Amino acid sequence: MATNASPAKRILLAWELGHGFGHVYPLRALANELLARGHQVLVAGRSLLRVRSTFDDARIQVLAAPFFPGVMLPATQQCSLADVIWFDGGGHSPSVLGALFRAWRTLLDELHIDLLIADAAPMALAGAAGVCPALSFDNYFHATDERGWGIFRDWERIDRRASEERSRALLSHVNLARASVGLDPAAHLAAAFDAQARVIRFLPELDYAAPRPGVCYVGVSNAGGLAPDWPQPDRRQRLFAYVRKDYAQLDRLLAALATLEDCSVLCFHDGVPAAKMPCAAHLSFSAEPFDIRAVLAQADAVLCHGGSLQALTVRSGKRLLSLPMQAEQFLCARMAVRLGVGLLHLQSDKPTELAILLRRLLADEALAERARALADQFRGRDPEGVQTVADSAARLLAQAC
Amino acid sequence: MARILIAWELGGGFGHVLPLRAISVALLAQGHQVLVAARDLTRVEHGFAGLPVAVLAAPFFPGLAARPGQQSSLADVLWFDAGGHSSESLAAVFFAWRALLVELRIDLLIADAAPMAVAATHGVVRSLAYDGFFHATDAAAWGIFRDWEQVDVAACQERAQRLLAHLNEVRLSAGLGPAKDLTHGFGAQLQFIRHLRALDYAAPRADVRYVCPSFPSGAQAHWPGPVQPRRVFAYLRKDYPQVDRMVHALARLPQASVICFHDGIAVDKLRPAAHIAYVTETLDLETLLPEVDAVICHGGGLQVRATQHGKPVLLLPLHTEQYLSARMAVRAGVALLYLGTDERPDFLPLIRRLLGASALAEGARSLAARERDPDAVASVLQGVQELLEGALPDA
Repeated sequence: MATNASPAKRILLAWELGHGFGHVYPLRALANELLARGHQVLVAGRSLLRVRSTFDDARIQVLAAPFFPGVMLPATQQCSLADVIWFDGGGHSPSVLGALFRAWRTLLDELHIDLLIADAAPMALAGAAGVCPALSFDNYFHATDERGWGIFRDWERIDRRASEERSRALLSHVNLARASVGLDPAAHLAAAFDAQARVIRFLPELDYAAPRPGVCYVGVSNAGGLAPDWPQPDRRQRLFAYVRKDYAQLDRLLAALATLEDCSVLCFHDGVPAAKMPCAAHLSFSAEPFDIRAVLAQADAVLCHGGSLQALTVRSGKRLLSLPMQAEQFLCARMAVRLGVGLLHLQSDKPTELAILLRRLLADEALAERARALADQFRGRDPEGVQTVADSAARLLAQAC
Repeated sequence: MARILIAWELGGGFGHVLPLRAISVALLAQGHQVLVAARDLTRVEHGFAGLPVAVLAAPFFPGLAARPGQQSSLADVLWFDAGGHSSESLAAVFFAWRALLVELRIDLLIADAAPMAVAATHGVVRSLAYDGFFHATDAAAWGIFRDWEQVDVAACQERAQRLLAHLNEVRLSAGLGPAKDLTHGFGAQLQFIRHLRALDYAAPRADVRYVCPSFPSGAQAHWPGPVQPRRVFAYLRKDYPQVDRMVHALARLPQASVICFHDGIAVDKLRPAAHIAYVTETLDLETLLPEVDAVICHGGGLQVRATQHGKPVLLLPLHTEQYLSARMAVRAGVALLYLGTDERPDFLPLIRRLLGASALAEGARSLAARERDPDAVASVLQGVQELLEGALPDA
């Protein structure tokens, strides 16, 4: 545990966009480290329920993040990060963007925040300009560096001009907000939503926008959790599955897992009803998070929808079956397939193929060998996440003094 | 001087924002620091434009998206729209409010339709509720208000009991003793209602002070000329299903001058006519209302203020709260009510009736003369002073 000789600072961890535990667990691990270094930690999140369940700690204050509920357009219209902010972050209107921008500034100012650490929180980053230093600690999808603003939806026909027009309008809206508080206009979106330091908790090999200049890639840090309790652990193989209750092919997936009789299957879920869980001796379910490092050390393969677990699986040299539910997850899954370490099943694919893919995942020795070989290449290469972010935070705080 | 947080959680429209602005102006003039926390940041920024107040996001739960028909009591509103349906979601919102109050070093909360903010003040911050009648959390407020259709009373009462259980679970984790009932759990130290007693479905209420709502000064109204013998002020919201038809009717009323304030009705829907002025800028109601012969609106603070000026009102309620008050106004003989669901209603006969019925105007004048409540701003300022001079509330 590191200690900090400098006085305690007030650090706000902000999370705006996205869902799932892939955001809150890395932030929780970081909060633990910052507390250990003597800082005061506050958290502002959109999903108060999820944040509170993860940060149930008297030392940490949980606050509501300013956010816009979204214009509820189909996800297929989101072709770039600018589109995400346009449709989900209030960027579509100068008055909404301005209100959010100023609400973030007021929060930072009134709380006397010394440093903002943002995870998928572009409006918080924009609002911090001139108020306090900011560090972005994102996964690849919401990273607001220069490479983050291109069009990512390259697998289907899109209205590119409309997307580019939204980007230009977004810049205009954010510059209006900046002008309202006396800031000069930003030359481009990367400048408007920038941070003083940028850390991505992902593998560059799985990042569709890599290489990114000025960005530090780090490994995912462990936030603790239950020790893995494999059902019938002497089975020939072990599969770890993270299943979400709103997955369109959930029933078919659970039925397929029940047929893997050579395999011990440990399944973490986010509230799958008990009535849907098949009874099988080789299958166990838990809604409590596991110690993911211990799980990955013991697993042969992983099934998940996407997010940090994809990167961690590949880093650990394990085979991966991705069942993406959104563009972000698909982008990463596609990279894993190209690297030869992952399989991919789309929600539009035939449900009957799920069982076939699961058996292939467990039987394909070439896949396993490539995953091990790839992990060997970057073992020890990227620094550990939490220490790196905390050290970077210390540098920013020292510069600000 | 004190740091005062004005909180607004539930409901929509300028009927919440403008009275709060009037309170803020007075608090600022006394040297207090004013912060505002609200769900609807854009409306608050608009309503508080030009004032040196800090605007923050209110913690809130996005809601269950249940059909409004299921909401039959204030407990239901908190259950479906404010996170009351589970102890976890209630805790998340409660503690986010508490963190905001503590971290901002707030001395006093003024709550408008902000029950969760009030609940979170217990034991840490002084509180004053300044509500319209619907969200007032006094003892009279927790009954079933949906009396015009069949409701599942047992289910509604069960939700109220569970809401109290959820709140008490949260209070326990905050080191507070259990609340004996919802009134206690969501109660403020002082309770003001900016409504007319005669239009309040839950009146009479104990421990509540009725006050005359104050609207901040706004732009001077300019009647479109030449000014006609009758004058109508209309406040129309773009999400009213028959807004086109009402605009159409007003455009066919050349014998009256009309000022139509709206919240962003599309330009192509606003029918131009020499006798109508469409405005989106908030107007100075205290100078405008004495000049008009009648008011058309959906409900809320404008309905009350128009009645207090002795003006007849045509009411087009958008939701339950507005309907409840509209029904009381009809019973009191001071308003007309339109509840029709026709796709193409003709409002012109109704507007003519509004302008022609002297009994309505006489009823409104008579009611205004009977109910002369103290001014809201002065009353709230006095309440603020009382609370700031007193001790912190007990848990």
